[in-house]
Amino acid sequence: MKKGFLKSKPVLVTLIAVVLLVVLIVISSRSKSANPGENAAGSIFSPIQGFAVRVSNGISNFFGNLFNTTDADVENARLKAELAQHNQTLLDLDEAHRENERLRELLNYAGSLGDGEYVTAAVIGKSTGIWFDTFTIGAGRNRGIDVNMPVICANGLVGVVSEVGANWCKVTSIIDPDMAVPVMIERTRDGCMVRGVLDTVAADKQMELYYLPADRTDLMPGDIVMTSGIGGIYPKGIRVGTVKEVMTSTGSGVNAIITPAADFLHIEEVMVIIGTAGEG
Amino acid sequence: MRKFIIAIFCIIAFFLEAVFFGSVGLRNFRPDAIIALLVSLGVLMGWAPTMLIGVALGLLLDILCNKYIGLSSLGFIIAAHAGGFFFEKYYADNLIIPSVTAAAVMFLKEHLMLFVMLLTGGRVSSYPMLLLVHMLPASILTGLLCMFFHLILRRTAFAPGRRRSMKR
Repeated sequence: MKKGFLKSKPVLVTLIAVVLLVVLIVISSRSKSANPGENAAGSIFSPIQGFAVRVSNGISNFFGNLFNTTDADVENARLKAELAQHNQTLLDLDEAHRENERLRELLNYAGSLGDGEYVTAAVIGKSTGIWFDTFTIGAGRNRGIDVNMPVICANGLVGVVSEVGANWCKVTSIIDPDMAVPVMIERTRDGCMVRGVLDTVAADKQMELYYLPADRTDLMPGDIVMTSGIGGIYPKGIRVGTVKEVMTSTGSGVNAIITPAADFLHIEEVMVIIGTAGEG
Repeated sequence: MRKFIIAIFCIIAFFLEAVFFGSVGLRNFRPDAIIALLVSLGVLMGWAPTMLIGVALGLLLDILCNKYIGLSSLGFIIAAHAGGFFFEKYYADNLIIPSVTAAAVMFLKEHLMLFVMLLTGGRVSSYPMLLLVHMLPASILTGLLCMFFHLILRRTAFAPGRRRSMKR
């Protein structure tokens, strides 16, 4: 009996661990607010994560720069070292310049949406794997962020805040396979929905447009899709994407393939809309 | 010393998984550094300590980056057990066993993720393409990364001089 128990010990321990983890997954999928343990871990590690992201970007830029250098002088060791130093200085300047440009674009875009309150934050983590599309930003309840607040970048809608911690929050992207956003076509003003879909073949991330009224068939590639304001989460008029391909057969219920306005592979800063004009 | 080296490897794998692969824009062709490490550790030191490391890394990864907390840990438990299955059964110098195991675990874990995604209402455009463009390349890359980790681990933390103390 004792021997049998010992033999099955790995199975027992694993079963207990699996059951606990499944319970945790279910709880975390229903909870919108970080629990104390999660909050503490997130608060401690998010500054470290932010630092790690900067280090990673530095490494990536450095190697990118090395591969792009074709000057024959780099073969000389001394010049190589000098060049690396100068390149690093240039990279720092270039990085600061690009960051400045991105933030300016972000502010201009926010200004074009009308009066509202915005919080700018840097992306400090992205979901691992291809299955879900969420990312973590370095601002949370301390900056007035709450769940279901829309998140934008300089090009348009990015997602919605799905979980909030003290100084961090998680954003679910609009391209996440279980996200749906009420939208309308800018040219025709027809209301419909877009949703994320997992597509490994397309070079860019894509979304599907559906629920377009059956008698509205004048959709054209290039049509701009923007939020309709229905549902109360996303303010009206935020750019979501453009129609890439109109589906002729609607057997699947999909009317068109949408290219998102935001470049989800290169998001570095975002703005959370924490209040719109007219809110008390 | 061994614990220190293992800790360094855990930090490197975590950094690759949580920050680096995402920031360089790797999408389909992306190995799982933590699975690669855990399978190698499982082969070298057994399932129990490896599972503990895997659950801890998985929880931290999910808290900081992912949508569902605990999901990554489930995949890492599989990795710890798969690696642990070969503990003290084969020569630790064998590189083929951990790398093939890591690739198989990655393949299994990706199907677990696909199942959860479909369960939560997600949609996939084409499963055969998903298999061909993402799952198989990612599994092969994970196997290769595991080979690399195993090669270094067995020469540092589990070098023959140190390996004696690992056995009970």
